[in-house]
Amino acid sequence: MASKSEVEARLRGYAREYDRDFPSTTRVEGRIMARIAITPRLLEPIPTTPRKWSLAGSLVRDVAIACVVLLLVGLLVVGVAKLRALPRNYVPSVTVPGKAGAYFSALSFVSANDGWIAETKSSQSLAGPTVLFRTTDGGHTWQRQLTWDGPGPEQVRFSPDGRNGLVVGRGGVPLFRTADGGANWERRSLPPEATQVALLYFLDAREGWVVSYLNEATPGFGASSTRPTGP
Amino acid sequence: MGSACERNRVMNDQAWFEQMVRSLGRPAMKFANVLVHDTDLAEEIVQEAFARCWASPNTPKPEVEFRRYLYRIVTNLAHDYYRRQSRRLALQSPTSAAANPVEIVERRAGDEAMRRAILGLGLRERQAVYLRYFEDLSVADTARIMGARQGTVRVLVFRALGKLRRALASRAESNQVAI
Repeated sequence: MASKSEVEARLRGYAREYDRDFPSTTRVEGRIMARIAITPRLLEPIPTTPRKWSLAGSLVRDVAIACVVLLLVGLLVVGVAKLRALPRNYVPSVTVPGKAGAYFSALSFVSANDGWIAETKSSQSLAGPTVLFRTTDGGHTWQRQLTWDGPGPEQVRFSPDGRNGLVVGRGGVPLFRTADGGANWERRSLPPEATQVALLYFLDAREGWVVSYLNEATPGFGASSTRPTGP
Repeated sequence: MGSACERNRVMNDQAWFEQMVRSLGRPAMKFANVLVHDTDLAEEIVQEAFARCWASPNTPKPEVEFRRYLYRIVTNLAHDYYRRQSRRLALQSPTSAAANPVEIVERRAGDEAMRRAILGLGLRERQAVYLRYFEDLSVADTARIMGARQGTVRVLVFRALGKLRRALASRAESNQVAI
């Protein structure tokens, strides 16, 4: 492809040819002067006269202006009154798509954009269904990723690369694991001696740990690890 | 006394205007022809532009300012033409190419590829390219005539040169024959 300077040089050459070969415009100039001879010339700018309103017209105009002003003032007053009626420490609620009055828990962000949140019916009841949502745009939109009929999750944890994840419900039931960033989930269960999950964490991108309370017959803490089978 | 004075004024104005037509008629025709690429239409536009300049009491007297004023009117008329043409386009049947003397001359001039490439530019780009390269005006003067900022003119010229480069390159490729 030709460089910019080459195109410019070619353009200038073309312009010279265009100028050289452009036909004479003497006849055109003559026709312009003939037209000028019959075209009147305004020597002074035309003064613009202000529009005169009739009595009825000016009345209608004034009423219309008054109505618009009253409407604007009314809107302003109502707006200010509504703002004043709000409590001082009012914080607008932010919700993800779901039912009104739903309970959200286990908010966890893997990165600034990639995050998870669970929605369940109530914080008190252990009844489901529970839905796990995922966002990939910092919380602007949320997509449903996992649904189960049981208590909402206590914790959601992901490995630093966001591929391996663990979700544990209240009381340790259920326990879900993913090894592909949440595309597929596998249901797991805690060992029989464990009753409740105390802590979930990932040691690195591949190795996760579940620290749990043990049942009355087995005093102390227990720990279980999860390692993905894949590479 | 008053009527004689008026007559003198009109005579003076006509002499001044004729001088403007003589010095700017040809550049205005070339400019209009680059914008609309139709000699008859360009002549019509230039006639109308001069007539408006004559009729208006606001037309500036110095040649530089007059030229700017005239080119602005020519550009506006070319704009109007393209607007009307785009409305009619759906109803028009394809017409055979009329014998256009300027086109014939341009073709004879040789750089057919450049002519076609310039035709592919937008109206504002064509205007900027004409003023910068055909009339050798500075960016400041081009901006003044176009009623735009200097930055806008630079951008328009830059884009136009890019389009010309691409158009010339694609034409060169299409002319190549595999051996």
